[in-house]
Amino acid sequence: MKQLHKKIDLSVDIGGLKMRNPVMAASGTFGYGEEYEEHVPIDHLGALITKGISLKPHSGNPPPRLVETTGGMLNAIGLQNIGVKALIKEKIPNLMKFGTPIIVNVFGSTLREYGEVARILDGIDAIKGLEVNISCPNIKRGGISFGTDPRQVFKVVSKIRKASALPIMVKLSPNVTDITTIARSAEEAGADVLSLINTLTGMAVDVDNRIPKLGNITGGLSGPAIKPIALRMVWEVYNKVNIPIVGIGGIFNTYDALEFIIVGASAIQIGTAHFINPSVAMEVINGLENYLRDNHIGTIQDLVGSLETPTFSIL
Amino acid sequence: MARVIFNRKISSDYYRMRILCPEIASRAKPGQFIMVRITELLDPLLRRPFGIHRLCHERDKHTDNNSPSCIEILYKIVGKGTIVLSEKKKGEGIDLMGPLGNGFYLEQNIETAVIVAGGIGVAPLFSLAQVLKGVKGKNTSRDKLTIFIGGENRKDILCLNDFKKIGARVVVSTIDGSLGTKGLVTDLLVNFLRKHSPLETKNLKLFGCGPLPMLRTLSEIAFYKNIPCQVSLESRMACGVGACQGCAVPTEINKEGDRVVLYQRACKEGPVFDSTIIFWDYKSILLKV
Repeated sequence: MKQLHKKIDLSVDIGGLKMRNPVMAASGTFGYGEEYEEHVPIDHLGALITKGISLKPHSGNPPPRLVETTGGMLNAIGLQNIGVKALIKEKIPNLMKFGTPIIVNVFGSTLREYGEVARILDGIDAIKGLEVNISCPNIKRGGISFGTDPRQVFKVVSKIRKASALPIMVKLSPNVTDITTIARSAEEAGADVLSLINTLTGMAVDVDNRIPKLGNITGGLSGPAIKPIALRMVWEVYNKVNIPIVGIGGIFNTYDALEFIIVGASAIQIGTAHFINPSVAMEVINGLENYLRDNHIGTIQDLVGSLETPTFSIL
Repeated sequence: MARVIFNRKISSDYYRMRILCPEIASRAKPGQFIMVRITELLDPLLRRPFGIHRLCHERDKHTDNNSPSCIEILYKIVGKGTIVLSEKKKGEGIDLMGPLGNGFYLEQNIETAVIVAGGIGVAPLFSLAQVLKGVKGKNTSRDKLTIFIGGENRKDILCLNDFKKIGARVVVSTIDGSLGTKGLVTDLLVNFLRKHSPLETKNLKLFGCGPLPMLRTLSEIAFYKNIPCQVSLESRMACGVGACQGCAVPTEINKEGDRVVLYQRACKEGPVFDSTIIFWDYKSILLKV
């Protein structure tokens, strides 16, 4: 068999999370999976991350919840979700049929709630990991308030570590002074993987009526506009921690994904791009395969953190 | 890929685009919508939702019994997205997702229907009228299907002749009185209901699409007169398939004897809702923030 036709292996194992490729659907952009059933071959994804789930259902924020901005969009959904029990009963059985690893994004408004949700999800076969949301900017309690203080991060992650034997991925907020201190806290508390970044807090104003364009006043910015910031943060964190990183932030094509991998991400998540192009994940998976083949690179792992930085200086 | 058959300016700010897309057209129902990718580039970024205005064929104007191969969208230039869309040329490919959402619920035995349209809200209501006429047969009298169309001025009154051609009675109102009766379109409905005895309107069904204040008034009229009313709501959307929860509409649901507010997705449970479940007082929710 010719080298050219050799099947490229895209599989990755990040912190115990085994995936057939490093392309995941990001939380909040893929619903509970079923919404995209008709539009995306879900069984081809590396993993699927559910909408953020809490102990009890959340009704979410008042409308308008969305506004497009140049190169991105602001959202303030407010973590509307059906609660962990309904997730297990109504959504997981349907999701299982795809054979794609399911990662549940969890959040709480108290430390105890985080632990409780993790405990309930532990031991369910189809669920292969937890993503801990300490970074949602759109709810008043919980979420980001846990994600901006290194001590709180340590407490939340420790709590979940005790409650669950599943691989734990901690999703970091970019709305902090130094993301690496938060990353280090999560690592010390026992996180297996870090995913970053969540959305950047922003706002938009209707000047005719002098009112905010979002019901929640502020919202989280996502899309191509945030990619340079996300890349910089992945690179910073990669240089400070020893656990794998999942890159998120404005990935719209293969080259975007490659940039994240080269600066240190072992896998990537695609979010906002799904809304515009439901085939984007498939395109990126094929694109990564072609890139590895064309550049004679054996595995994704060989590419992770392969960024070459200038070593000389002019005095 | 779907292809643009024509993209015509029909008045100062309004355009009509016919698109060849047999896979969507053959499955589409009135009240459903499509998500249009405006550009292959990333600005404007998000797809835009458009209600299905008309089900038709490449050449003829109205649908016959054959499965339609084309849909039309009717749109108003309101910003960057619609400006770029208006520049699409005949023969160009266009990236669509659809048909999406729940359309109007149409019983078999609709005797009389009144459609209330405000401004560009008329867009999804023409395909509804097409199907309502189809359900009842072409020979039914004009009295069985009445359309009230309202707008700020005469430029906002669209599709007048199209509705007439399919055999519907059309009545127009404008705020400035430049066409039809001066006043609100919902006043036309109030007058209509005053002239008809409750017995005559016993099996009446109401349908509406337009600005929020208009729909709210329509809903109140329907409630007082106890007439079933379906409204198609407009909302900003990102995904169009129910995943992002961005297009949430507040509804009031009876839960164990209490009225509770529940957000439903315009793109999935809607965009057509029974008017009685909508929590119209959007502003009072905003004040709680």
